[in-house]
Amino acid sequence: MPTKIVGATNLRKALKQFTPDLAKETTIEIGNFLKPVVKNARGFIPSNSEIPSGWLVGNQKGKWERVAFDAAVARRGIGYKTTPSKPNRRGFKSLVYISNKTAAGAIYETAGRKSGIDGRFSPRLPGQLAGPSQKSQGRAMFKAWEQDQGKAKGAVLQAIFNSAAKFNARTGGK
Amino acid sequence: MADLRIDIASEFVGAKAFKQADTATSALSKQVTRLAKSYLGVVGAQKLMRAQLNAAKAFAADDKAARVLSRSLDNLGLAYADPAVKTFIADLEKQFGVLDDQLRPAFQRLLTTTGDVAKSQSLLKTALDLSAASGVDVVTVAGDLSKGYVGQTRALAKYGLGLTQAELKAMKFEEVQAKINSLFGGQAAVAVDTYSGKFNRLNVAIANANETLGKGFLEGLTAIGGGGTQGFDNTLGFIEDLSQAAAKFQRNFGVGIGQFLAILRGDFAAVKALGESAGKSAPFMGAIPSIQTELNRKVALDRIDQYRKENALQAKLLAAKKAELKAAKEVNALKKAGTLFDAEQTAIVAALKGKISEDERKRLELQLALLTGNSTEASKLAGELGKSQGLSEKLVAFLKDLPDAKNPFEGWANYLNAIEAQVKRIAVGGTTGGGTAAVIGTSMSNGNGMFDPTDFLPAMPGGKLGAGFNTPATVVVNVAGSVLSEGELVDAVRNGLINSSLSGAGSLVARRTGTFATL
Repeated sequence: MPTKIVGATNLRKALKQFTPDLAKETTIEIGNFLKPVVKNARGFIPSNSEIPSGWLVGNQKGKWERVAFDAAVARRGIGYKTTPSKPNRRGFKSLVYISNKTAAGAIYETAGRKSGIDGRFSPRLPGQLAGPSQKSQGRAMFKAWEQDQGKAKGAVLQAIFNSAAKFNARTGGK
Repeated sequence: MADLRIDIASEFVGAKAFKQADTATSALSKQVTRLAKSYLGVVGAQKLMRAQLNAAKAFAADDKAARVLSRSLDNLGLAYADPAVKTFIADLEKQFGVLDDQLRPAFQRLLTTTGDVAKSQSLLKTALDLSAASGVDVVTVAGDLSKGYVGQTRALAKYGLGLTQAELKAMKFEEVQAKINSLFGGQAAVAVDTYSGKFNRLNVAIANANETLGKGFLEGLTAIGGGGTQGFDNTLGFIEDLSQAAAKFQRNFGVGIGQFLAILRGDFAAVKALGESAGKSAPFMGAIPSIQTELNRKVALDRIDQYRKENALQAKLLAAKKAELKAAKEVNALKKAGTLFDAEQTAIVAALKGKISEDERKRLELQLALLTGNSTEASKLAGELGKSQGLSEKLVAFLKDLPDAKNPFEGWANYLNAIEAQVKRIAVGGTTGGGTAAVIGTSMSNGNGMFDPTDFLPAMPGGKLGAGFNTPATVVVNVAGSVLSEGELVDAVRNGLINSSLSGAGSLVARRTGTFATL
């Protein structure tokens, strides 16, 4: 569950408008906390030789070509973002998040987490699912987040609160 | 595909749709509130004003009817009965739930017919019973009864009294009324107790209340004008003054605005002109605007009504013409169908299909056109035929004037006569035996070698034939030499002809003159 912060969007706007240096500093600081997690997650993506050969790019044609696996692409698909997203249907904006954006990376991340590790595909994938709940289980990003044990999350939140405090201190707010 | 994401921090900003809905709802709520207020204000005021005017109209109509009835009573010399009649009408209205708007005209008709208040009251009660039983309004029933009172009982038959026209005419009206009372007496009283009757009584109460309100409204207007007989007129004058004052205010306000704008432009001449024109504005001629508008509306409505009537009339005429045309078409179709079995026409049609001359064809076609009544075609064909006949007559006249042709066989008679005479002469002269029939020489008498029939004409003195031919007798052929018999002679002649033919000797034949010769 994400931590809900009230006024974070306004804080970000205010930082960019009145203290751009502080805004940049905060962004870099948050990035520094998230980069290790992302790097770790990318490290869990297997190489092409470890993947079932039929799923590899070049062996899939037609409509399955879009979801074919390429280790380099899947690794690049894992990243972080510190700019707010658009509100979802329930009205929530993500302020900071890590994502696994490619189709092949998402398949590797989640295959078997709902129906179990059986059949002819998911048992052949390297790596183990890790995570506290079904929706938080994965082989790469979720696994790295699980292994981080919330350190990155706490650091990011602390960085946001610190920037707010610094902003208030500079502008004479509360 | 939704990408996988781990949200570290998020903020609830509210869905866009929530904001839109909230904004729209609040705006709508404000508008509805405003609209409701304005609607209640305007519509309420309009409704109140309209209700007041309707009430005043109802009261005015009722008052007019009452005055008309009073005048009728006065004219009949029954003015003393006016209060009693008013009470009677009011009682009937309350008792039977029939509006005095109907009772008064009904009573007036009966009163003018009978000239008797008591009789009219009795008949009005009968009319009420009959109206309740038949469903016809009381004014119509009263009219029928008043007609029956003077002997026109035809209208009463429709109420189903069980009497024929003859019986109705034979009976006295009192008997008819007794019959009606026996059949329908008490119907009005019974109808009052029904829900319909109660509803009618409710209507009566509402109408009376309306009239009372209207009376109050008009009395209030009278009171505004100071009361008394001149009060209402004063109020009307006040309203007129008020409207003129409002008009003056509007005019002056407009002039003021115009002057202000002219001052802003620096056009002081226009300021002065506007002021002067405002002072010299032409007085309004004619009805006040509101009344004029109503008058215009009335004129327009009348015109529309007239147009509608004219259109309806035109439509009727058009429909009648269409029906007439349709009937004519049907008649023609029937006539055409009938011609299929007309023997005379059939014969003409059959004759037309045969090989006939152009003139005969025209005659037949003319006959057919006359039979079928096709006047146009008949006229055309008659003209052509006449023309054709004219040509034929000319041709006959021309042929008649032609001279007789010369007979080419005229000269033959002489030849035939000569032959006849020669034959007679031969028969008389007998024959000469032992002669030899021979044609001497190859040249003919004409000297050109051509055959001439006269060469063979018999025995003219100095003729060309031998003397033996002068006596007609049996020709005896004597043969000698190698020819010993008749058969051998025939063979010799035939062989001679063949030899002659094969020898290539030429011959000349002149068919025109009938001569031939050997070459």
